[in-house]
Amino acid sequence: MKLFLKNTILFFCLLYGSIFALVIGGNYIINSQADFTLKPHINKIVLGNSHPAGTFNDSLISNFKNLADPGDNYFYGYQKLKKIIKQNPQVDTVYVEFNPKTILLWEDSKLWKKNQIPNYQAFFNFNDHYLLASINSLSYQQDMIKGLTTNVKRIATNQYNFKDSLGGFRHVKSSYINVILDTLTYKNEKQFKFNQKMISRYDLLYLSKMVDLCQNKNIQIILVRSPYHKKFDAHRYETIFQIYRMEHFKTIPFLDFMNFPMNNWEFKDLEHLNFKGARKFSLWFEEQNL
Amino acid sequence: MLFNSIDFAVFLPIVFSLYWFVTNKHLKLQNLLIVAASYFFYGWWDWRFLSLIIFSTIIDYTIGIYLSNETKTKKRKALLWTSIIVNLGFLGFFKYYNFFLDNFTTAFSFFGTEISTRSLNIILPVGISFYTFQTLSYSIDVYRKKLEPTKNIIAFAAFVSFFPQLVAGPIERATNLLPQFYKKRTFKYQQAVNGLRQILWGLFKKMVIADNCAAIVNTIFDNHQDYSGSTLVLGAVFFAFQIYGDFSGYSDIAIGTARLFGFNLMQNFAFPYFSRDIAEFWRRWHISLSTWFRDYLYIPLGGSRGTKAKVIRNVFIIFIVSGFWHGANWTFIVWGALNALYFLPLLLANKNRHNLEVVAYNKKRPSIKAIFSILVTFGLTTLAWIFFRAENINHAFQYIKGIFNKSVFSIPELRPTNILVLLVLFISIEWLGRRNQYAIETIGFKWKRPVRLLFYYTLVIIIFLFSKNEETFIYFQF
Repeated sequence: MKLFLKNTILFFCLLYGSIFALVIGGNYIINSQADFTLKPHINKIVLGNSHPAGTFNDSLISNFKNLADPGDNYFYGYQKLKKIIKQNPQVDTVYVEFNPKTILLWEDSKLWKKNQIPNYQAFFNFNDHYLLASINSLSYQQDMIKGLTTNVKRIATNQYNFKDSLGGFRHVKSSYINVILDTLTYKNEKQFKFNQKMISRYDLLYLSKMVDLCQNKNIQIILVRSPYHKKFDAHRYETIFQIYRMEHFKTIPFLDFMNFPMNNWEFKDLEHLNFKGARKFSLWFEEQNL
Repeated sequence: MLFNSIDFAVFLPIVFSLYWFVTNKHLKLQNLLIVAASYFFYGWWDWRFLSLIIFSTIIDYTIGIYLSNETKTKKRKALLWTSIIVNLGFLGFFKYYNFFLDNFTTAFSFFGTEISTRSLNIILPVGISFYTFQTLSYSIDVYRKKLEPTKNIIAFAAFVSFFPQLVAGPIERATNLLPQFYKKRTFKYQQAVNGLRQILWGLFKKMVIADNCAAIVNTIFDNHQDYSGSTLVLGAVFFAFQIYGDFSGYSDIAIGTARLFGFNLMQNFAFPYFSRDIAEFWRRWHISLSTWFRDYLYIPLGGSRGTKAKVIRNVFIIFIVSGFWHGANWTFIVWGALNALYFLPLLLANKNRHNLEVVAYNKKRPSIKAIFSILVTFGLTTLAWIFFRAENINHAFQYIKGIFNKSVFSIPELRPTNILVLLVLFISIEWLGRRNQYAIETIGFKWKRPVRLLFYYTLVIIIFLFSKNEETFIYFQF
């Protein structure tokens, strides 16, 4: 029995010890080499998910960089923001997407979606690791090892450019809006009642961290709601959203483009603009110099 | 509790430590720990259905005692039928009630009579098909006087609920497993290491092979009308590997876990995809269920003795019942019937016991004829799997129709290279280990220790790299 226990423990120690050492080493190299430096004139950035990614055409807006990435939640936005601020002291304004869908519980599940952990693990601090490991330790272990191979690939190919690989404006040509409108069945005027259980437990903490980080560095943080269609089901969470916003982010400026005038053909679907919508919005945004 | 979950990774070492360090001096205490751990393991999923297991345990235990005291044939038969009715009654209600009700209603409406029925929202208790068959085997064996009825209720409860094989088998016979609960277990290093190795291989099959194939299979089966014939073939082949990886993976983890506690469970899969005919396939696939049906249904019906008509009837009964055991859907019945059709010619030509040894047993490479036979058998099996996987009969026929057209010669739209590489690796390892209980049982024994360890570490790393999140096992639904 003693031999069995000794060998089993040794097997796992060796396994986890090697993984731990390789993860730490790889993360250290990536963290120290990661390139998030923007062009010197860029002082405004936007972070968030597919909404801002398809809305802010940064080639039409001065001094602006779109760093939003489809599927990103605040957890990953925070990781990006940490590095951007550190390497770009000229950044003075950060826009962060904030809409009824980004406060809901399902944002927590996005911690595991899209295989983002391997891309970002080098930038996690202890609390981030603890959070991921405590919620879903099996996926955490899997993703750490996947991250290990991602790190090895980056190191081997000398690929440290993160600013262009983790987000950017999404040029969408297609539009499915008519098909969607034809088959829509729900009534979006119906409002859900506020229930704490519907609200994200973990991810929203990272929006607060983003706010704190910007405020500590005297950077203006602005919450922004990208335009979406009046039939989009996020409208049903509007009451919940407003209650939450007033309770937690009342003092943070909020640019609300929910009712920005758009035609159906300027949408890709109910929640995203296509390139025509993005162009219209971005030109207007540029004009306003917001 | 899933074997491929963190919950189980915590549960197993705790039970293992209590078993070998705290309760090791008292057999009764050890068995009691197994019962408690097994109930906890099952209750983790849904504690309400524990009552079914406990009820089934008490009924069969009591019937066993009465059977031992009873000498009159009529009364003995009545006792046996009580056990059969109670066990199959539970199974019938939870698994087949809605199926029979729906078909009953449809049959009446076919003859122009509309009857109103109310289907129930019944949850199928996990593992019910497995543990009911296990307890039934006890009652039948006691009735047949093949087994002395136990007077030790704790040992019997442990036999019924033994957590490694409680929810998805192997369906153990009382004659094999129950006596193991009477004897003091001593820790054996080789047995435990063998168990860990089998668990590792089971996890690889489940988390790497089955779960990765499942993603492609679901995409193809759910949207079969959008894909070419060649992609549909790919989907069916991937499903063949998914179900094998899933179910035999579970069996490996179950058998390996049992070994850690000093138990030997029966082999449930013996490299079925290397079979050269359907009869061999059925000797190698889900062995515990096939032999259960053989011993408790096929042979009592007369087996292969008697007139040809009787033999044909018996074969169809056993395969259709086996199909129906898998689920309350016509697809499983057709799957069973199709396998009966495959099997019958071999039986009637007296060729059903031609391939008893595993292919190329004493050789490194198989003959061309053997390779051809393996491919034909695999093709037939895969065709039958389409019915097994389809949502309904129409879905299966549409899928098959989609295969048999010109597009079957086109390049598949989906080409999951990494999964194909994994499958090649998997088949190669299975081939190398085909003479053993499981593929990696003796692989690397002649290698130096660091190389062997490197092999195991590689498997672990592949499991981490290619596994998805916790996916449930297919056979949990049966």
